[in-house]
Amino acid sequence: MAPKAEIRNEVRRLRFEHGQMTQQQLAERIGCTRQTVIMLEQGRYVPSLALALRIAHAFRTTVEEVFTLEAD
Amino acid sequence: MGSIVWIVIALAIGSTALYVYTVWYRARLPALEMPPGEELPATHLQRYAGWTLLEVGFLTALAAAIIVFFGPKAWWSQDGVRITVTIILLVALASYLVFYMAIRKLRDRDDALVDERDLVILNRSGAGVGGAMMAVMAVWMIALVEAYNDTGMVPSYYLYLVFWSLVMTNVIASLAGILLAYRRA
Repeated sequence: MAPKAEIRNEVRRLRFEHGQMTQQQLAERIGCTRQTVIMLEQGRYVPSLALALRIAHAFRTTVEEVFTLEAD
Repeated sequence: MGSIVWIVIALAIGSTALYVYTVWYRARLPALEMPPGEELPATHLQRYAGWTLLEVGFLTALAAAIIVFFGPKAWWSQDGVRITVTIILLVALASYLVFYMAIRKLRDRDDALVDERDLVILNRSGAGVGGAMMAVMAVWMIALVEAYNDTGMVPSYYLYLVFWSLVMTNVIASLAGILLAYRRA
């Protein structure tokens, strides 16, 4: 059985590295609500593959650069 | 004890249990960090669900108050009471329908006013509906048995009241489920 894993993300860091993008601006760019961006950044929501790809595209990077799988 | 007292006791126990569970569940989640003076912005689904719950809750309470004031028998013997209560409950159902259609419309728009997380929460919100309906049914069962055990006959107008209470429980539990699902998410 695969070990329990946690998905971590770099959304907050990437947002600041991309011209101090606000949560609202990112939300509009990736097609979600600001609440979802807040929850994503704090690790309380794991996005669908489609949203993960849209986030990666918004930062012009790959999904692996934004999300990492951390085993316990 | 009268059936109304039983219903109040059951609702108080149910609400307390739900509140304790929600507090316990939230305590397990990582703390939400927000900048000082800023609150988590509510989503459109959250706001609409809150307003609709207030509206439906008020109308249901009004209908219940009318039945309690005139007595359950008035449902059968007084056309005015039956028609008034039915209209109030139909308006409440129409409010829920408007809410549901508004959310469907927002979901189909491109500006992401309702996003994938909202839809996950919407799907999760129905989890407690079955339990709430069973609890209400159990309260009715206990109350009617307590009240009519001696005669062995339950007046038929109670069937209508049981039906309407289950319909409204379904609607209220669905809306409350959305708000609770946001608190737990």
